[in-house]
Amino acid sequence: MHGPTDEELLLAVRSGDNDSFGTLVARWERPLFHFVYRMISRPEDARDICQETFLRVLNKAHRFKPGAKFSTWMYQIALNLCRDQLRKKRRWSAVVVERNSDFEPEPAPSAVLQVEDNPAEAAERTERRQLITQALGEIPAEQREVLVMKEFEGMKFREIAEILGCPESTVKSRMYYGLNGLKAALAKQGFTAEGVS
Amino acid sequence: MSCVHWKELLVEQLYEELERDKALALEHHLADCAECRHELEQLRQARSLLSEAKPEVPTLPRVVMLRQPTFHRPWMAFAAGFILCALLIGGGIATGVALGPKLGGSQSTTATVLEPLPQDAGNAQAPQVIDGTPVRNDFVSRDELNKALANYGARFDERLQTKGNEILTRVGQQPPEMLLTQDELNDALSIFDRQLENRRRGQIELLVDQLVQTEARLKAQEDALRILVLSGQPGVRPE
Ligand SMILES: [Zn+2]
Repeated sequence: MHGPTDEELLLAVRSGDNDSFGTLVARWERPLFHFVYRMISRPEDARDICQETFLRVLNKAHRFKPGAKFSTWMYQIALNLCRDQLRKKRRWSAVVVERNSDFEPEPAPSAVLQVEDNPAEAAERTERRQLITQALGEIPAEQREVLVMKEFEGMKFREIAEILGCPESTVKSRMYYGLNGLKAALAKQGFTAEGVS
Repeated sequence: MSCVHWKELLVEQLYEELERDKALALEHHLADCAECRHELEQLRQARSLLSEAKPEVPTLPRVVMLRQPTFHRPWMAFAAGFILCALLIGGGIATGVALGPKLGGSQSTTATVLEPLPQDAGNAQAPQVIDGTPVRNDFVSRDELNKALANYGARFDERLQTKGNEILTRVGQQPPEMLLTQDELNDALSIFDRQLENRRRGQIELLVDQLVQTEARLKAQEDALRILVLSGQPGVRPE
């Protein structure tokens, strides 16, 4: 990596160097926003949580334990804020389905765009997505978190374990039960990988 | 037959995080165990369904860092330096030039720091951002401070000139026997110096005290301060 590491930057932030904080924000705002958005799916809330996360990073910089990994610490802060937020909103699925037209989604990869020509197909895709999202809201939160971090964020099991502060085997176990739970929730609606039957 | 201990490996296999030797072991087991083969197939289907629900992430809102120079140490030091400097200059004039409000009609620069914070400062509002431009609260830029300082200096020179002329005129009007000898003048000046020094010290101590208190209070309200504000995308007004 070019330039100082995240941990070096944070140490500089601790001694009052605001530019280092700016560098950290610039480096992590995008991954953090992705992470938070995929956890809670509401752009406004995701934005607020990112803001709050960075603010806490700044205010709690002195509590960062040397030797720890900055990103893990930052994700832990963000995850706790997401959990608080979801507790407030109570139902994840209800939260997730809402869309805000003010925010343009990132352009889909070209591979997806090719299939998107047919409006009927697009509509079905949207419907499936909503059903799956709803089913995701029916499984326990601790399993859902793992599913989101693994499938949507592409994190390694080791990274997830570090953020959650639990053994890797626990993460894999939650993954296992989460996937099965998801499938079961969808099966109840006659929904399979091949389509709605 | 219980295959519980294979479940972890199945999950690892699903995400291709399986180490080589474990992968070989699993491969052998799968060849013999229909149950685990079925299990892995189920997991693959579930993963495929899950991947369909992957949310597209909206364009990242920009993060805007708001600087509030009032609350940063380097600026505080600079402000303190300025005040001390102003005090030293101001103290030089026995008549005393009021600080702050008379700074050449420009925005009061020292007053912000000199005036004690209101008691409800803990409820300070977060700085607002409109169209990406921070709304100013009560801080001044370095340029403004320099301008005010230059202005102050010019006015001081002017006053000193006037005062000097006044004293010279008065001295010229005194009968010779009323004039002080050089020694008497030196004594008087050193007494004046001491008084000035004491007064200056008192003011400086008061100011430093105030600065320290201000900083302590600001620390306490850290949470209320939004140093960072995420503004929306271009064109999107943050609430
Ligand atoms: Zn088996």
